Parts: sequence; C-alpha cells; structure tokens
Amino acid sequence: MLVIENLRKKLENFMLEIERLEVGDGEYFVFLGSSGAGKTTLLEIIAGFRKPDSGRIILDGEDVTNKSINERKIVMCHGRYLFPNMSVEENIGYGIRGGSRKEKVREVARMLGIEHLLKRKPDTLSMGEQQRVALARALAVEPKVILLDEPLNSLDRLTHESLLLELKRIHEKTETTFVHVTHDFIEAISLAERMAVLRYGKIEQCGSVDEILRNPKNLFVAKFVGVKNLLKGRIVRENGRYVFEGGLRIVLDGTHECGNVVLGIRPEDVLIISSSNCKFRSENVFEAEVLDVYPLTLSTVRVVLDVNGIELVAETIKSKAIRMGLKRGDTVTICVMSAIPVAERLYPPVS
Amino acid sequence: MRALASLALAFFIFAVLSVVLSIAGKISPQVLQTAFSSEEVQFAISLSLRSALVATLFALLVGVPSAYALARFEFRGKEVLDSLIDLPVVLPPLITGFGLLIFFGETEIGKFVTEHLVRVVFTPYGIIVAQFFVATPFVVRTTRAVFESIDPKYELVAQSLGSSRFESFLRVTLPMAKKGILAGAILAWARCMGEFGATLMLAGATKMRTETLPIAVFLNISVGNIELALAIAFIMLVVAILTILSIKTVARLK
Repeated sequence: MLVIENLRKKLENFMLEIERLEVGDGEYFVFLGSSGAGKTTLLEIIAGFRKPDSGRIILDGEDVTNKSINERKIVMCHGRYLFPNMSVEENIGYGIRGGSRKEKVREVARMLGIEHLLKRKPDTLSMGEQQRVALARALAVEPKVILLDEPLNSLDRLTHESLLLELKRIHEKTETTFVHVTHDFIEAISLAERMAVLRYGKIEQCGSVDEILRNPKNLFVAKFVGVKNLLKGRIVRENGRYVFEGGLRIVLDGTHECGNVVLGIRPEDVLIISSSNCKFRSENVFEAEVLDVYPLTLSTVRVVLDVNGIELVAETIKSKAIRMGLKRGDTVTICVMSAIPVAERLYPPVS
Repeated sequence: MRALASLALAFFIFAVLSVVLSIAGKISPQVLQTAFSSEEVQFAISLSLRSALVATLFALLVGVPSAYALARFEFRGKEVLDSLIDLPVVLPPLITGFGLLIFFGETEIGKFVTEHLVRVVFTPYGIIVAQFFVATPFVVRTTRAVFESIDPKYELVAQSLGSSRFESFLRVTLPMAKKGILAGAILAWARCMGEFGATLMLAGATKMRTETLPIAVFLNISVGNIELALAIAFIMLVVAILTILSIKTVARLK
C-alpha cells in the first residue's frame, strides 16, 4: 500500500498539501486536476525526484521519503524521456538486472505489441509508440508502483483510445499499482478505480469514480467531472418530496437538506424527446427551444436549450439527433432524468 | 541598413582572407618540402600534437565533472566559482604562465611537486600544464552548456529504473552530451595547439626541447629564418581549417 501522510511542499503560487491518502496494492488510482494543480510535483515527490518540505511517503509500511530514487521500487513512466542514445530494446532493458535481460525485454514487448520496434531509435517513433515503450521499460523492472504523468496527453484520438484500453488491459494483467495524473476526466473515469480531484495543491474530493460522479462535493469538482448545468436555487419540501426551485421546478429523488443549493444536471441526463408524453417519467418534463446543435465526438452531439429563459446543455447520440432532425429554432420536449444537489451549504441561506 | 551591414561583413571577410593569403601566398611546394624534412619542424609538429592531446585529455578529465557540477548542483558561491574558471580565459596567457612559473618555482607546494612528482619548469611537462590551464575553461564552458540543455529528468527517470546517480550519468547523460563535449574538446585541443604565452613563460623556448609549433615560429622569426617560420605558420593555418571542418562535421553527426 502506498500512503501519503501530512505532505507539504511549497510551490510557486500555492502549497501542495495532502493530509492523508492511501492507494491500495494493485489499484489504478488517478489524480485529476487542471494544469498547474500540482499533479506533476506530487508524482515527482512520490518518485523521489523532489523532496517534500514535510510529511512522509510510505510504501508497504516502509518510510521511503528519504530513500534514494533507485531504491524505491517506484518507477516514473514517461514517453518523453526515452533515452535517445539507445534503441527501443536497450531502453526497455535499461532497468533489468541479472541474466535474462533479452527474454524479459521480448516478453514485455510482446505484451505491449511493440516487438517490431525493438531495433528502432526513440526519435523515429510516434508518440503513442513512445508511450508504449516507456510503459514496457517501466514494467520490465517489475516495480511496486508505476507513476504515469499524463501518458495520453497530446495523442491523436485513435491512439488515445487504443492506448487507454491498453493501459487498462496491462494494469489488469499485472499486480502493479498504477498512479496516473491527468487533466482529462474522461480518461480518469475510464481508467480509475478510485480518484482524487486536485486543485491548487489540495485534494477537493477523493473516492471511487462512481461516488465522485454521483455526488460531487463542490462546484469545482462538479464542473471538473463534466456537470455542465449548474442552477442556483433552493430545495423545499412539498408533500413529502423534495423539490428544487430556481427558474425550473425539478422534483428530486431521495432526501435532501432544505435551503439554498446549486443543482447540477449532467448533460447526458437531459433527455430530448419528440412528443410531450414522456415514457420514462411524468415529472420534470419541460418545453424547450433549441439554441444550438453541434457535434461533440464522432457519435454524440451537444444541444444547447432554452427552458423558460434558463440555458441547459444536453448531450445526445448523433444518430438520434439526425433522426429527430434536430436544428436551431426547434421546439422540443425535454425531460431531466436526474439531478444532483451540489454544495448544499455553499452560500448562506436567505433569511 | 542592409547595405551597411553587408559592407561591414565584406570588410572583415577581406581582412581575414588577407591574413590567410599573406601566409598561403608565400608558400611554395619546395618551401613546404624543406620544412617537412627539417628535423626541427618534425619535432615541433610531434611535440605539439602530443602535448595538446595530453593536455586536452586532462582538461576533459577535470572539466567535464566540473561542468556537470555547475550545471546540476546548486551551492553557495557558485557564481564566484564560475567567474574563477573564466579567469584563465580573460587573463593574458603570459600572465597565467608567469603565475605558474612562480607557483612551481617559489611556493612550498610547487617545490614539493617539483621534487617528488614531476619537474615542470622549463621542461616539456610545463607545456602540458600551460596548455591545460588554457584548455580547461573551454571544456567547462562548452560542456556546461551541453549539460544544461539536457533535461535532468532523463537522469531521474534512469534512477527510478534502478540506476545509481553515477550510473545514470554514465549511461544516459554522458552519451547524450558526447557530441557537444567532442566539439568542445576539439576547440580546446586547437587552443592547446596554438598556446604560446603561458608555454613561453613556464616551459621556456628551448630549441628541440620545448619547441611547439608556435614557439618554433617565434624562434625562427627571431633568428631571421622567415621561410621556415612561414612554412610552420602555414601548417598551423591548415590545422585551424581542419579544426573548423571537424567541428562542423561533429555538429552534423547523429
């Protein structure tokens, strides 16, 4: 188990501060944060590239904070830092001690599908290939923890996707703990078992992916994990149900605290339906005007809607949008499938 | 502006070519042949090549680690140290040589070295010491710039793969820097080949003993043997041109 305890490190504009964080053996853990949140510094402290001002890094019960880099069994995996003076084969074999170097190199190269690259020099590889080689090089030393610093950054979409799946597959095959930092929340939710959202050096929220998606602790986390619609208003109790009032009236599931709140609605939870008889629910159905429709990915579109003067962002399958002939100026019926109160005590209640 | 700049450039190129042609123009195959068959010239070439090689090797041995320390470590007084290293470059070589002469002849440490290790004053070893002093700052400067251009993360990543600091330096940083170090070494070697002032003071100008190529030019001019002096000057010109060519070649190497 990797434990970070009372870690403090003064950075240029803020303090990196982690009270306690545990990453379990063999876990895939992701730190999510925008650039400049201190993610890379945190990884470098775990790797031993930098010393913290105070606090401890504990690996399997042993304090490694002051251990030299090469004795930690924690490996930094970084495609940009392949050794340019060595071939791919030499790069992968770099950290292997003992006799069976050649076989070991072949084995990891086969696992990552890069056997055909072994004789090449790093500067002749594509970025995706460089990342694979870096991962092979890290795996070859059989470390306890592999640290990945934005490994899928600046890859084209196809490579991004295939390497993402590869990371998941490789992680499942090995017993190694993966600690991965990224600013891309799609990447985080696809890979992570648990994750921590980092902002200005502090952990805003830490938990399983599901937990964070379903229950973001504050506005920052909500925005970061893709909650596009944030409505200010209040929750009131009505006939035993909790209702949000704030431009729109939305009936909520479950129990909530009454009072002022920001309500988060994920774009994929805004369902666009053609007629007003919603098959799924009878409540939370609204008339809306389509303000804009634009493609988001190959298979999804984003729809900007006006509901009683409130702007809502929806996401839907592209084929469905085409079938409905969705275009600017249309009037449609929408249904809010699910909504999450965020930051329930964020601003003081109105007296 | 363009015309003015071009004019300045043309002027200087003319000046350089004048120097080159003044030497090369006076050289005939016969003169060169005489020079090459002269025992004195043969000796000077051999001594220059050997002393410059040894001095450059020592300069690398001391200069490369120093450059690495300056590039990678933060310590107090780094700027002072940096300036001290540049001192032999700025100080006239004659003064450096004079200082060395006093050091080896007058001080306790110098005397100890002379008695127990090696006699430097007015011997061929003096040439190597003089050249070493002139060459090392060159090695440090060029190599430091090379090390600074290499992201330290390469070494750190190598260490996280299990290498010790020293091993990561030997296997990763040094090979990455070798082109720049080689270019610096060639420059330093060329400096050694041309070193005159410090050599004159420390090793003296003894015919057929401490007679490097520049000293040979000096000695032959002083006794009025202009033709031989010209021939040696021509050899040095060729060495200079070869130096520039080899640095360009190194820069283009993969």
